[in-house]
Amino acid sequence: MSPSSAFARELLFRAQNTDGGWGYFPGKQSWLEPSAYAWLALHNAPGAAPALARTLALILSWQRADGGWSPNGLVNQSTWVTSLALTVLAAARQTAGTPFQRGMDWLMGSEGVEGSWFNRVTARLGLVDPGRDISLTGWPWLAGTSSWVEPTAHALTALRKAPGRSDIAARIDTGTKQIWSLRCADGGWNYGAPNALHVNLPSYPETTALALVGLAGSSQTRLSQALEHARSLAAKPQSPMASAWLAIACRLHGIEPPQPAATPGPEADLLVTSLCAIAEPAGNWHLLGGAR
Amino acid sequence: MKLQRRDLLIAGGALSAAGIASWDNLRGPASNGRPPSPVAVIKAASYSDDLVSRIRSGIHACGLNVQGKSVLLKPNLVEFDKSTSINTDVAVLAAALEVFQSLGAASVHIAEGPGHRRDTWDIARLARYRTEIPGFDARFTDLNRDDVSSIPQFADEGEFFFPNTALRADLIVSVAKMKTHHWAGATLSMKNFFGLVPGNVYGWPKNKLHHIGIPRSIVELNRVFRRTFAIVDGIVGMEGNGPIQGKPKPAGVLVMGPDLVAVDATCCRIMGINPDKVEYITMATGLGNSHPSRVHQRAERPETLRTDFDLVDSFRHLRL
Repeated sequence: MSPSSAFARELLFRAQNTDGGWGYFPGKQSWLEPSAYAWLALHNAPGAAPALARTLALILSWQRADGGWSPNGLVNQSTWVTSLALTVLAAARQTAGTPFQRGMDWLMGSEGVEGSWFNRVTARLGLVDPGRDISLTGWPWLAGTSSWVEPTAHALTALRKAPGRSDIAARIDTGTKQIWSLRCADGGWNYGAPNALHVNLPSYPETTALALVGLAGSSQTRLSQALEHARSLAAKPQSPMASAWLAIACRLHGIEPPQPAATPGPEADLLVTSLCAIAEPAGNWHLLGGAR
Repeated sequence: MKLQRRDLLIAGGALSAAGIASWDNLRGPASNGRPPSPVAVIKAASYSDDLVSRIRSGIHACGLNVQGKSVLLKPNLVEFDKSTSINTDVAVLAAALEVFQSLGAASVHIAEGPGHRRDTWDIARLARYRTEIPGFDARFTDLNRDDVSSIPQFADEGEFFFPNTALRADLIVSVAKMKTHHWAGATLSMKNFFGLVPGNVYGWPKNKLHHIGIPRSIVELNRVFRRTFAIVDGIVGMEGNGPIQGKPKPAGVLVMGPDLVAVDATCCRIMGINPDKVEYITMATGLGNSHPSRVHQRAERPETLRTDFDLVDSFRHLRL
């Protein structure tokens, strides 16, 4: 374990809330997102088992009746974080359990509204320019909204961990195609709008990496060009969040990422701390990959 | 001309009868019994001018008292592109911080929740906030990753979540940028409140607001957050395909006031935009004053500083 990852893990142990979760920053409300990444960062760490068992119990307690997960204990709606919960359950070898199966059902039923019949008809009649191929539907942040790159990438990661389901291949295929269709002209990805009013928009390093995480396991030949773009981004000083995601994406695709010094981030950012620990050479980045 | 995807989303939201009914609750007569609203228009030719004294004079002209209050400065921090002027300039934000501290505020914090990028701290670094504002890191809250609480009723939603940092502030100062906007016509102090919606609940972009409808969401946000003041950075604004891809537009002004509707209407008049044609301003007449007879202009008259901002084709009809 490198000194930096040891420091990260110590910080995470100290910052765990009494309910078993983590906030985005120490002393803050527990949220599923930082809790999931902390769990992944600490998975198999010496002495971590009791802490992680409490985290898993908390995550399971946040599963809703519809099978999805809410982002924290307050929000009464299932959202994109369902994908993260499923990724954690898969890493915990709980794919055979009811929570995982119900979560998968919810995820398979979740899709962006851009592909609704109304939008398809109006686009086909030429009444609207939807600005993207709405036959390719990915995953939204929350129900009733359009699909975007990051929730789609996380959903693809989670779906690849479902054993023995015959119905997921088509959704993985469509989601993969959607991510490719939302690629920016500069070779990377932003939140999911490669242009506005027919003017190209720039990509962001962290979202470029997340798209490539979602594409891990994909056999697209054009991956090599996108990976080279990610590698070139990783070779430049980036924020800790972007550096971590770029390193995770590179490692998942079998590339050793360059390691320039990151620009300074905020102190005690628990989400980024977890991502940095996951991204370490000996970190648990593989848990975000396509294979279970 | 074909509608764009977001037009479709807005149209879809507008089909909601319940939504239309709640819009009507916000409409009202031009004055609605409110006193006239002071708006200070202060000339500032460049970011190297003495912005502290200009902001202080604008605040005094509007009669704002912040003694003992917890003040939250909410800049417009969206993305960074060094070739244009997307964000509230660091000089304006730093000056506002200094002024509110000097006026006896109990605390002055800075917070923002960008709509596109998750990496708020990196945008703050690129925009030089972290290097040029003393103690920025300790004062700043990323509203996209803050703790949240719910409020009842937002548009047609039974409950809606907002960051505790915003909900608990005694005064939120919208330190906005003067820009045209390719979906809303203009983005000024009121639209700036999109950044109060937490990404950790609603995602990036905050697509929920697009589906509710951009004008309606702007009005709803300004209905929820009423203890406010505005400082609009129009020293160098943005024209054309804003809020991100437009061109820098020097207007040489700071526009300030406690009534964000009045401030935005005044900014529009400076930009050569008819505020009576900007949908979110017309929908917000129940929240503030937009008619010139109900806006008491302090310092400069907006018509003397008018500098027409280029508008994209779909908003050319807004021209004053």
